[in-house]
This record gives sequence, structure tokens and C-alpha cells, in this order.
Amino acid sequence: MGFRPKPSFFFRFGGEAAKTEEKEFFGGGFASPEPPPREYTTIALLTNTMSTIAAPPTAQAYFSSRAFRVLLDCLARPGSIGTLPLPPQDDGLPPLAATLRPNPYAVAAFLSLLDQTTSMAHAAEGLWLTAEHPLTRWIMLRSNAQIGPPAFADYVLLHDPASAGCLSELKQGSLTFPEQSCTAFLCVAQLDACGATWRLEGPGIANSGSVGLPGLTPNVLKGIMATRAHFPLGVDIFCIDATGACLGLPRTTRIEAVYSR
Amino acid sequence: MQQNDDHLYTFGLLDEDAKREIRRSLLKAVAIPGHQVPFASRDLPIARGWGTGGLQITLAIITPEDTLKVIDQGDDAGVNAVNLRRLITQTTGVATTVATSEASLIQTRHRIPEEPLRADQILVLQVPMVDPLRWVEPNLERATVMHGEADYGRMWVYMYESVVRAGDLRIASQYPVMVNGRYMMDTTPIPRWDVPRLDMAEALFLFGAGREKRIYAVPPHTSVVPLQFEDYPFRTEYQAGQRCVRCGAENTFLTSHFVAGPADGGQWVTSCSDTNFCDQRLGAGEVQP
Repeated sequence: MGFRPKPSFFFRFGGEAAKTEEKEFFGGGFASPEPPPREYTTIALLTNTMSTIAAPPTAQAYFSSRAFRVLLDCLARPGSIGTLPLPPQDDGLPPLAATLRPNPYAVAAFLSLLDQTTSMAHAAEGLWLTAEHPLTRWIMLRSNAQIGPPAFADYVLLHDPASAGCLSELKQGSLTFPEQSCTAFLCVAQLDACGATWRLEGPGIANSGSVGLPGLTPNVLKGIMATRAHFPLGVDIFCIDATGACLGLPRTTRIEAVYSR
Repeated sequence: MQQNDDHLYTFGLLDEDAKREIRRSLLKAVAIPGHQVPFASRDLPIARGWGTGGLQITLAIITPEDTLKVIDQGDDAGVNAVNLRRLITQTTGVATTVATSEASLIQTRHRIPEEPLRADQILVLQVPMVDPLRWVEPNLERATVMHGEADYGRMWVYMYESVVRAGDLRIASQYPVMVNGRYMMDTTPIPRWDVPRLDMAEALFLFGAGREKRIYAVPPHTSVVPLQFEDYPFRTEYQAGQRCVRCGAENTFLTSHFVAGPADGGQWVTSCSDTNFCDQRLGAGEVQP
């Protein structure tokens, strides 16, 4: 009845490409010119992307529940730094570029919320990555999520602070359905609970809190504030650093840059 | 944690897809305090209307390290509490407790424990009726639009009419509140006694309605203001001179029950609704005879 339309349902661009590719690997009618890379066959055997009613608890299931509690707690208490658990298996994340590696904590937390009903997008160095990017395929094969146009993506992973400008392109929901907005994961170099780069106020914070993000460029706050103009519309953001420290910034949090010296 | 070796169930009974869907809704609910987020509400081995909303939230957020407390009207031994606790522990193997201070996750029907909750605790409430606007707008789609536009005039008229007709704000439970100054929220059947304790609390409150398929949340340190008029302020059930017959507490939410006596046929007495709070006072010898 269109009561709660899911944009992700209609945008299945990259997803189809990945499905075809997967089919080819497993004898879907096309003879591959080369044997498939071993990486993909292993993945398909190990991961369980189907809905199952009763299966023994997996390391992935325990990881997802523990990681979610950290995400929930961080979002409920902006300014308090949570620590994400270690990802269950490290089967070789494909690099983003020759020198740039993805943050394994952020990818794992991102992955723990994705499934076939969600759409995703990710960006590095200020550019959206394509459906053909090795990491996109890595995520899609594990989650069944569709890669869609960023403006319709439910979940977005920004691999570096330089991509924070992409935040303004994301969907912010509507007045009737503000929950149909994007959740963004932003990888940062370091989060410091004792520092004071930003002063935070709003629900979940007693009086005011502060958080340190050493070496952060001002464009990040600008990108975040671009999503905050029309409460209850907005994008909810998790900042995750290289050690798995996590900061939640729901759309209710007011952020102010602290200028020291 | 007890290891569940026979693996008859997935951890937390629900399949991973169902848990992820609830988790995604929970994150949005926390990000928009007081806003009702729709969720799928799967079938469970418990009928809807018996706490399935709260149960689904608990099963989606529980970790093997949690210590669980389940209460029904403040009572750890209520039928609903006992059965939900049994289901959760059989499918997760987590430790349970009756002591509020030892629990990291508390599922409740109708009460917030008397003991103040800490920042490391999460309270999950089972919600029967979701929308406070139901009394003035039975159509769910229109009520959703009214929430979106913060169009709460008709609710204020309803409150005013309640004063004109009855001479007071005659709302026993499900007292409407404004959360974070933006969304009107139903406080579920928690008594008025517990409504002020949602305001600027330390703990996170998660509300789940399985029958109506909605999840909403009140994060810690969030303003929760009951609807009231200057000349008809919000009041709790407190009555001067109230007292628990068991522990003698004079500032708790009380339930009344009938005690049969040999001579005069018996009498109605009041005791603490939160049995653990009452037991702790008895154990600590705080009873004033």
C-alpha cells in the first residue's frame, strides 16, 4: 500500500552485476575464461546469507550482537567512546587503493547491519566507489546488500575524513518517516576521549561533553553540519578510528568546534 | 554464561535477519527520541500482546555477557516475567538476577524499578498501546502525519476536555509526554509514578510494541515532560501517609491486596509494587514497625 516505501527495493544497479558474477563462478551457464580467484569460492562456502530458523550460534552472530551493543550505547551517549570488538575473521580485506587500506573495525560494524533489504554505498578520498570495486564486491557477497545511488543508500561507509563532503548527498528521511534516513560510518585516524576538538550537547549528554579528534580537518564538521539543518530529518553518524574506538553522533547532537590556543 | 551445547536454538531465538532488522530500527529510534519506528515484529512462541515487543528488543540486543532481570508489575515472580525469563535464558544461556543493581538488561512490564538505574543498564519496556494520538485520531496514517508535523493541538484539547468533564487530568496510565521537546510519546502503562523518572535519567529506555509493530526510545539525559496545565499540574499517585505494610517504605509505588483475617474477615493492605526493593529493605533491617 506504499505505507512505508523502501527506496532500496527499486534501485538494484550494482547488485545485479554482482549476482551475475557470482553465478558465473558457480556454473550459472557462463564459462569463465579464467578459473575464479580462490577468495570468492571460500567466501561462498563459509558465509551464510540465507535466513535460517535454527542454526548453531556462529562467531559472526556473537560478534554482531556485541558490536551492536557498542553502536547502541555510543548512539545513546554521544561523546562517550565505545570500543568495537575484534572482527570475527580476517579473511583479507581488499585494499581501497595501492596504499589505502580499509578500517577493519568500521567494515565489520557496517557489515553487521547490512542484509538483502538494505542498500549501501561507500566512498574513499571523496569519491564514491563503484560496484566493480573489489571491496564493494567483498561486502556485497557477504551481506547481500545492494549497492545503490548514494542519495538512496541506507548505509554508507566513508573510508577517510576526506570523504566527509559526501555526507551532504545522503538521504535524510521525510517528516513522516524520519527513520528512512541514511546511517553513515566515518573512519577517522584517532578518537580521544579526553581531547576537546568538538563540544557536544543534546540528548544522551549530561550538560555538555567533548571529544578529541586529533588532526581532523574542518571540512568534516562542515560535512556533518550539512546533514543537521532540518531536525527530525538528518543523518546519524558513527566515527570509528583505527583501534576500533567508536563515537556516535545522532542527528540530535549539537556539535561546536573548540578553538584552543 | 552457561554454554548452550545442544544448539537447539540460534543465540537469542530470532534468526540473524530478524535481529538485524530490529537493531536497525533501534538505532533510528535512539537517534530520534520519542519517534515511533516501524519494525517487522516476527512471530514468537508467545502471543502478541504478551510482551513480544519487549521480548524482541531483548533478544536482539542481548549479549552472552549480560545479566538479565525480568519483571512484571515490579514483581520478579509474575507469570509473564517467569515465562519470558525462561524463554530468554533457554535460548541465550545468560545469567539472571532479581537484584536491580546486578542487572545489565532489565525487561519490564508496567514498572520502572524503584532503585535508580545506572548508565550501564538498559530498561526494555513492553508496550501495549503505542500512539498517544489514538484517543484523538484513530487513523494511524493521519496520526503519523500529525507526529511528523508536531501537530499536537487536538491532544491538548483532549486534555482540556478531560479537566472540564472530570475536574482533573484523569489519566491513570499511558500518560502522554513530550520527549526532547519534539515528539509526543505514550509512556505505556507505567503508572504516573514512574513518568518523572524517565526525565534526564542515567539509563537508556527502549520501548517495544509487538502487536502494533513499533519501537521507540528515550536516550539517557533526555527531557521528558508530561503534558499538564499551569493550574492543573501533572501529579503522581503519591498520597500523604501512604506506607508499605511489609517494609514500611513511605515513598514507593504501592499495590493493594486483600488479606483475609480470622476475626473481622480481613482487610485491604498496600505493599511495594517493586518486590526486590521491598525485600532488600527487609533484608537490610530498614523496617520501621
